[in-house]
Amino acid sequence: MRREVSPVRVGQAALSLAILAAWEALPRLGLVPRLFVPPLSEAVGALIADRAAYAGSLPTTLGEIVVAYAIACGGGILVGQLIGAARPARRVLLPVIRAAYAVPLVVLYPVMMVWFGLGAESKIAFAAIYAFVPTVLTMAAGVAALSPGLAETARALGATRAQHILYIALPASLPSLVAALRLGGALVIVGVIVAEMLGAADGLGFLITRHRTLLNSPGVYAGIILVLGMTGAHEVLLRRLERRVAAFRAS
Amino acid sequence: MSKAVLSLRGISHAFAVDGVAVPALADIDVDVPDGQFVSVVGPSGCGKSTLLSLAAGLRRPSRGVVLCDGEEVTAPMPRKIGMVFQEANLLPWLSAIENVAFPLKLRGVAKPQRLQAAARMLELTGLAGFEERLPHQLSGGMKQRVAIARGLVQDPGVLLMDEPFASLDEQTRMVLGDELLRIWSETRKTVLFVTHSLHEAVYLADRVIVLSARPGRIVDDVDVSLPRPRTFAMTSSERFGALKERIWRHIRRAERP
Amino acid sequence: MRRHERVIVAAGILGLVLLWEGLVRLGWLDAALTPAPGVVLAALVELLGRPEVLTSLAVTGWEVAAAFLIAVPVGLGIGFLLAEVPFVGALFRPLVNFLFGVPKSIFLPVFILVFGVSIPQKIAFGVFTTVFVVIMGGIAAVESVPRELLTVARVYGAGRLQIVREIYVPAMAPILLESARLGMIFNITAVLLCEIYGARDGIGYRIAAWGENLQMPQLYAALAVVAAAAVGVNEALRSAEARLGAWRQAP
Repeated sequence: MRREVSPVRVGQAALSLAILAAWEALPRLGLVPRLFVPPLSEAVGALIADRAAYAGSLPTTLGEIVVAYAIACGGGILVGQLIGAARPARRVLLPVIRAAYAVPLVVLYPVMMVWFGLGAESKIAFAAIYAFVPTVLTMAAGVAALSPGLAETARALGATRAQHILYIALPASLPSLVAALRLGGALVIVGVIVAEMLGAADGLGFLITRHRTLLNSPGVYAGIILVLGMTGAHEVLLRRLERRVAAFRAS
Repeated sequence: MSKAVLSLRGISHAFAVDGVAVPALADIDVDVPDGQFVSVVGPSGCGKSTLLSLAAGLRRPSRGVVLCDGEEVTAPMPRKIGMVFQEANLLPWLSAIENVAFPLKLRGVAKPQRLQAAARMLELTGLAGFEERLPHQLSGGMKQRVAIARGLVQDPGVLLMDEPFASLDEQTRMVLGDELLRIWSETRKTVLFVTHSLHEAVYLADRVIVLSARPGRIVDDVDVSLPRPRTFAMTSSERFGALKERIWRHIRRAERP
Repeated sequence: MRRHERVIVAAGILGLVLLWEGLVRLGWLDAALTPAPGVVLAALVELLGRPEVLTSLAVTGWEVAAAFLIAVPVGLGIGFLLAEVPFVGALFRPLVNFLFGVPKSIFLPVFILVFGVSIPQKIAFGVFTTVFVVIMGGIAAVESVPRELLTVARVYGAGRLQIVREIYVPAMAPILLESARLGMIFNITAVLLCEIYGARDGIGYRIAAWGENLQMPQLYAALAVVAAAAVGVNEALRSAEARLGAWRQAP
C-alpha cells in the first residue's frame, strides 16, 4: 500500500536540505561573513580535528549535567508532586514560585562562583537552581490537573499522603512528569554550558569561550554542534520514555 | 395571500474538494411566505446547513438565485436576515447584553440606543436580569436565548436557525422549543429552521421540507396542519405520529445504502 | 490570592529574612560570603545614591527596552504570516518549532564574534532570544480565534476592518500579552547574560565585577534590585493579561 507523499512534507524535506546547503554555500560565497557563520564543513572539520580536546571536555561537562539533573529534576519533581497534591500549598506557594520565575537567574552565577569557586560545584549549583523552578511548576501543574476523583478514591481506600503520591499521583501524572523532565533537563544542559562559558577551567562551555577569544569561529560552532547534539539526544531519550509511558498507560 | 419573503429558485450547489466538484444541493425551489415557520430535515450530509448558509448570503450558489423580499441575496443582509447557529457562538469577552447589541454596533448605532434595544430583546427571550453575565457564566440554554435575541435585535424579517438546539439536553430543548414558539408568535418572523429531529421539525413548524441524501433534493413538502398554540399533548396525537412517519419513511429510504 | 494567603506569604518572606539575619549573627553563615540583610540593605541604599550605578541600570534598561521593541513587532509579523498563509506556515513551522527548542544562550559567543562587545551586540542577542517566543505566541494567538466567530461577524454585516477590531483583537489579546510577558523574561535574562559574560557597562557587568572583587553586600543589593525590577515588570504584564483574559475562565 503506497502512502501519499504530501507536497508539504516534500517541501519540508527540501527546506531542510536547502538550509544545510545554504549553511555550506553562503559563507563560502562571501554572502554571510565567515566570522558569523563558517561553512558547515569547516565547523565539522574543526570538530573532527580537535576531537581530543572536545572529547576531553565532555566528562567534566557531562558529570556536571548528571549531578545537576539529579538535583534539579529529582528535587523539582518531588517538590512539584508535594505542592501539586496539597491544595493549600498550591494556593500559597505556586503564585510565589510563578512570580519568582521572572527573576533572571543568570545573575546568580557570580554568587555561585564566589561560594563554590571555578570548579564543578558552581556549575552544578547554578544549573540546578536554574532548572529547579520551571521543573517544579510543570510538575505541580500536572499534578494539580489530575482529576480530584483520584484523591478522593485514595482517601476512601485509606491511603496515607506518601502512599497517595507513590502509588496514585505519580503514575497518573507521568506524562506531566516527562514534560517536567524534558524542560528541566534542557535547562540543566544549557545552565551547565552557560556557567562554563561564564567562568571555568574545563568543560565544553569553557572550550567554546576559548575559541571565541581566539576568533576561531569554526571552533565555536563545533562546540555549539556538540551542545545541540546533547540536547537532541536528551530529547530523543525523552520521546522514547514518553512512548513507553503512553503504552503503559494505555494497557 | 402572503407574498414570498424568502425564495430559493433553481438552487444547485457544489463544493470544490481537491479539484473535484462535490454536489451538495440540486434543484431546490422553495417559496416561503411571510410569517411562516418552515422546518428543514433530511439525512446527515444532505446539505441542510449548506442551504441555510446560501440563504444567509454567506455563500453564493453554484446555480440559481436566492431572493429576499424580491432582492437577490449575494452577501449577508444583516438587517433583513438574522441567523442563529448550533453553537451559540457568542463573543466570549462580551456580556450578554453586549453580545445582543453586537450587530447594532457593527452598523454604527450609538451605545445607549443599542444597549436599550438589546435589553428589550433579552427581556423578550426571558433573560431579564442576566444582561451583565459573561457567556462562560451562562448555561447552554441561556446562551442560545442570547443568540436568538441577537438574531432578532435588528428586527429582520427572516430568522435562519441552524440546528440551534442540537447541543442541548432534551429537557432544555423542549423548554426552548416552546419559548421559541412564544417569541415567534409575538414577533411573527419568517423562520427557516434546520434540524435533524423529526419531532422538533413537526412540533415547531407550519411546514416541513424534507431533503434527500446528497445531493439534497426536495423529496417532500409537508403541510403541518396542527392547531396553534402547540401543546405537548398534541405530540401523542395520531396526526402527529402520521406526519412523523411520513417524513421518517423518506429519510429511512435515503439512509439505506 | 485571598487576603490571609497574602499575609502568609509576606510573613514567610519576612521570616526567611529574619532567619538569614539570625544565622549570620550566630556565625552559622559566613558573614563574608553571605552578609546579613541589614548590611545588604545599607549597601543598597548607598548604591542607589551613586550616579554610575544608576547609569548602569539605565544602560541595561535601555538595552532591554530596545530589544523588546524590535523583537515584538518582528516576531508578531512573522507569527501572523506563518499562521495566516497556509503553505508558508506548514513549510516553516517545523523549522520554527525546532529553532524554538534550541537553547539560544549558547550562541552568545557568536554574537560577540560578529558585533564585538558592544551595546548593539547585546540588543541583537536580546532580539534573537526573544523573537522566537513572540513568533510562537503570534501563531498561537491567531489560531486561538474561533473560526465560527468570524462567520457570526460576517452574517451580521462586519467589514474586514471590523472583523479585525471586533473579533481578532479581543480574542488574541490575552495570548499576545502572555507571549510578550514570557518574551520579556527571556529578554532580560539574555541581556544580563551578555553583560555578565563580557561588557563594559550595565548592571550585569557591575554584578560580575562585584563578584570578582568579593564585594558581597553590593552584589546582593544589585541582585535584589534586578530581581525586584524583573518581578515587577512580570507582575504588571500578568495583571494586564488577567484583566484582558478574564473571559477565558472555564465555568
